[in-house]
Amino acid sequence: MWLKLVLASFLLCGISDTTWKMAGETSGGYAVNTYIFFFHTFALISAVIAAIIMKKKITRIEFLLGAIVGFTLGVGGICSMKAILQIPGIVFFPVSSGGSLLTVTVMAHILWKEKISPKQIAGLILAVVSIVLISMK
Amino acid sequence: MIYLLISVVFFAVAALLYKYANHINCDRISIIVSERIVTVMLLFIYIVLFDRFALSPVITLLALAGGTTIFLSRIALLASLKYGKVSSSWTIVNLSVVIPVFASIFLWHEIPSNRQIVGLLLVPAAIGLLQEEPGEH
Repeated sequence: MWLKLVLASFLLCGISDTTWKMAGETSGGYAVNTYIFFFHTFALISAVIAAIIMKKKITRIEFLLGAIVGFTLGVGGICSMKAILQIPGIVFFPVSSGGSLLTVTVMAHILWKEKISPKQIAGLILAVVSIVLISMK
Repeated sequence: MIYLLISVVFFAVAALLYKYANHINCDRISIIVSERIVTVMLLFIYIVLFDRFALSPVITLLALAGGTTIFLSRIALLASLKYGKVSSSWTIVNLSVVIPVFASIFLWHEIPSNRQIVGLLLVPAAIGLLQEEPGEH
């Protein structure tokens, strides 16, 4: 059961990321912000349906944190789409994924003094090397 | 490249806020609903002020596919956590970056250089090493 669910999540997440590239390629750039708007609108509708079914109540702190996350996702999304239009997908997707993970690991260490294991240090070095290599032509 | 860097930073901030929300036991669905409300509002204001709505059936269908699949992906991921280790699930889902990369190579004929191929091969290894057990701190 675990493997089925994880593979479903893997596939759905990959398809979702690919639609960003498809939107950039098919619209030639003129409709990308409309795409991002509807992308988040459909995600919101899905989330609201799930929240109603699960009878969730949003607390003040959850809304406040969600609002800040929403702002960062909005700005990040607009910048992502501008980047997708300018650089190849083979550069954008791995650098975006690896770069975010690298930044989170370093920032979590700085902000919450989370320990970085030797395995993670090796991962940090590999991430930097891979990002440099992918960014080079 | 500057847009890519900005998006990496903003998505990393979002991930750090998720991490914080997890620390203080916030409900994930409630956070998702709140974040999407703010993202949709922000994008609506951005499009009205700086762009225009470019409605097309293709863009709407892509957004429908992208928005619902990313939500279903998260639901499948959350469901998988009942059966397996968080770090394993999260690592596999992060590796979904290979799907848009392969789509870029096969659909849009983006040919990676030898250096980029080495970099691309290092990304899964870096993700695997960097991934920690979310919620263990």
